[in-house]
Amino acid sequence: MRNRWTRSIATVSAVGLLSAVGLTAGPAGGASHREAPLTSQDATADNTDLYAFRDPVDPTKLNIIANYIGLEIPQGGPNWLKFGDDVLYEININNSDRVEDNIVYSFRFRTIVDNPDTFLYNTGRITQPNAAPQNVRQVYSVEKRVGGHSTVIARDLPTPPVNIGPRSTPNYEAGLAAPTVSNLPGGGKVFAGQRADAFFADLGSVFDLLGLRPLNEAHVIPRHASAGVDGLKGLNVHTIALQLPITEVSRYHDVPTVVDSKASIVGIYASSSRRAVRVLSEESAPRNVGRWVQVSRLGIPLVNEVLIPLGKKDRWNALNPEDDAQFFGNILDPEPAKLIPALYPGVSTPPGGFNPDGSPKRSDIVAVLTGQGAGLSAANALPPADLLRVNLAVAPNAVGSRLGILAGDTGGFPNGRRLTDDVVDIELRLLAGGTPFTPAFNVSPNNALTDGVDKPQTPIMARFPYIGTPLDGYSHQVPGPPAP
Amino acid sequence: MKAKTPTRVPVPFVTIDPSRTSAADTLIERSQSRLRDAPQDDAARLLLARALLQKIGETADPTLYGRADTLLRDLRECRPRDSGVIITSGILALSRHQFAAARALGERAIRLAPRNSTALGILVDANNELGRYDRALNATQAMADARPNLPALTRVSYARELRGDTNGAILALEQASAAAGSGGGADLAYAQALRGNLLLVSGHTDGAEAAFAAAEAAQPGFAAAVAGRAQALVARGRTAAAVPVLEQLLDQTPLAQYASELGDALTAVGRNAAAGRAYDRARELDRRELKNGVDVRLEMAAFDADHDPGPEAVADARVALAARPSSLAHDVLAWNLYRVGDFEEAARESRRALSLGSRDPTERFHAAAIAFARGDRSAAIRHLRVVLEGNPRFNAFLIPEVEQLAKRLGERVPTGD
Repeated sequence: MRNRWTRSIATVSAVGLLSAVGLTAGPAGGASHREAPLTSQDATADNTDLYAFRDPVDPTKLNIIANYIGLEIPQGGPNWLKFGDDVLYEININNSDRVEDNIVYSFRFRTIVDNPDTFLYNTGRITQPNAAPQNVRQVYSVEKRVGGHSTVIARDLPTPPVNIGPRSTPNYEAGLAAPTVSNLPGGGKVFAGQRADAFFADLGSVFDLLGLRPLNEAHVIPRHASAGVDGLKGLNVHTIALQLPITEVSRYHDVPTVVDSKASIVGIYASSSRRAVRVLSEESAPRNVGRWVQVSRLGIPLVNEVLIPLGKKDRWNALNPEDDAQFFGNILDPEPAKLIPALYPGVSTPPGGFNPDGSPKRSDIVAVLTGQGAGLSAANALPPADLLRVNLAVAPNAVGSRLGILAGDTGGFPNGRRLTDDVVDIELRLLAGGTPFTPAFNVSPNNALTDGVDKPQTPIMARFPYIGTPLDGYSHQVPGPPAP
Repeated sequence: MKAKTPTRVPVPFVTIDPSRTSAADTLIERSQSRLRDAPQDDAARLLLARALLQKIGETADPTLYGRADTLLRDLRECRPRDSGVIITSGILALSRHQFAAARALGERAIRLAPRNSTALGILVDANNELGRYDRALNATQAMADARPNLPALTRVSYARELRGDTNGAILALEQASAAAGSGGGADLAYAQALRGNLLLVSGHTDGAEAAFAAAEAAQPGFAAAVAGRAQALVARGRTAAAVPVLEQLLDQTPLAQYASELGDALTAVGRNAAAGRAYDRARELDRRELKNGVDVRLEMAAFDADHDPGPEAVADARVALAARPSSLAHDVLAWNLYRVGDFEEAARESRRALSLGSRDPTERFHAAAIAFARGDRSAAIRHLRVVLEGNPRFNAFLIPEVEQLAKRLGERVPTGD
């Protein structure tokens, strides 16, 4: 027999060309049948979206929603997706003048399997969370780190089951999800579990040469105009949601009231890490307790996905926002802004790069990176970084415009991000210069770019965790290859 | 992405059976439909090249390599500094066992994209296959430092396996399986099948079968897991039951290795005519790979040592070793030398094969037989015990030789089941 062959050799898993979302598919077996995958979709540790907004019900609270594990199909049994027991999930908060992690909330999950002899997720109707007959379930702990000091603030918190269908998981929201919202010491709340993906975008068109369907006729390869198609429709994610008293995260432990003040801003990013591995070590030494290596992070929507080139993504994901300066060449001379004029004849976009004095030409993008998009004046701008910056002195505006600041609504992106903010349209226009920051380019079609998808697939809930109920697998079967 | 040169090679379109809906087919269809509108779109050309490689992974059809190569050569002309193009070219070179070329592409890729874990993976694989184990080790550590996920952990496992740390290798694959997550699909299947193989050669047949079952649950029909299931049957002394499993596997994934394993199982149950046909099929499949630019000379030389031994096979093994001086190639030359009675040089080559300390049963059995032929009983016993303590039925064709050597050395062969 010859099964020693090419034990190590690589094969292709289709790598997304432009993005972590979109152009990806299941990995291949291997040409010589034993070829090791070179790239793997690390969905379990993949940040997909981050939201942060003042609570519309209780303005003294800040909500942070970090989503992981994108593109979950609702009928994904029997091996339903879950958080990784071997992954460290973190929400990092910066409340000082320099870019650093001032407060970090860490989440570790633990899977409990009652009966390891069955593949079954549940053996009957699940009527309460974290209990039989749910055979496979997860609990988690929350640790809070301030400065160098860590405290476990909650442990063995329940998560809801995934939403399987009306027989296995009846009365999902009220009976199974809502009861797993846990209180944190100090007045906060936390939730972790499956939800409906709230991101909305016409992925198919964005990645097909930015062929925005409503603007099809203006494209270099014209087609008839049509409505946008939500590429996330019918898909779930896994959510970690925090609701924190603003006094717990603000610099001076107050509820700030002065909008144009650095102390009113918190910058947030979500991340995930895996354990480092020593390739060779003493045989007796434990080999799975290495330090944590960050493998994914997300701050401002789409910076990681769209502006960081594929070849640099591993490095980008491993670094913290304090090191972002080395990527400003890519961020401040964004590839899509150069692509738009080639794809839409007659459209011009602002030049990127740097002026002779070293200042960036794209002051509009700088504004988003420095908190000026969140209400700071240029004089009070914070250091640029890929942080989702929220101004805690701006009143929440639950029913604001999907276009946020572009519609004069200061309660949404790029002042934090609400679940309903249309970040794709806002960023398309921003990249094309169609915003008040660059008056010369703030014209049609630059300021009218749209993918034609305007809202999340499911309504936002009236209370924490706000992000909608996950689609159940029985009623929302997504056509496509069978679940792995 | 815009084309820089006006004249481009035409897109080598492939026809996709509309009734097929594999992931690779979808990608091929998507990229080709874009290229029908915009034949110069480099991103779509690169996507098509990747999709073709993925399709080869699904079907083992090597005739698609040429198309992927055409696309990538052209892309390298137009976008010589695009790390995605260079990385995909490196992957193609690895798939065709052109390891020197893969290494050069990997080094180019890592300069363009420092710390990129895929570029590091190409360097790991190419250096391992070229016998540059220190460099491969450094790249493996760098890959694990950059992103300790499944691709890195499978290579950590191999680094340990090569050095005889089987338990450490299994542990790394357990971590890789955890990192693949419950939706891991073929990646999870890969890690579990590999784990099964290591459990099998270390004598844990029950655990191996559970691992192969987990692999098939993650990806139904996953070839390496089906092959592993057959080898577990051989290990249990149920070789006749392994035959239909291998026949079906070969039908679905026509690789020379599976034809060869089928021939070995048929030989072991005394069906020599059918075995001859399976071996002919293996030769035919190897020739088909060669014709499509896949360098399988080493694989062919290894096959020949057991099925067509002689001076010609020795010469072929020397050529293969020169192109790919890995410990595996040293072992293949050693075994070919043994078959023609050149025990002294065989011993030198076998020592080179085992210089890192591998406990691979094939290499250890070869070393034992060579040592015995030279009259070195203690070395023969030492090597053979590694095999006997693990899975003495690691190769259906060699079972009689293993048993005979054990008998001559006074070692007891554990029964299969």
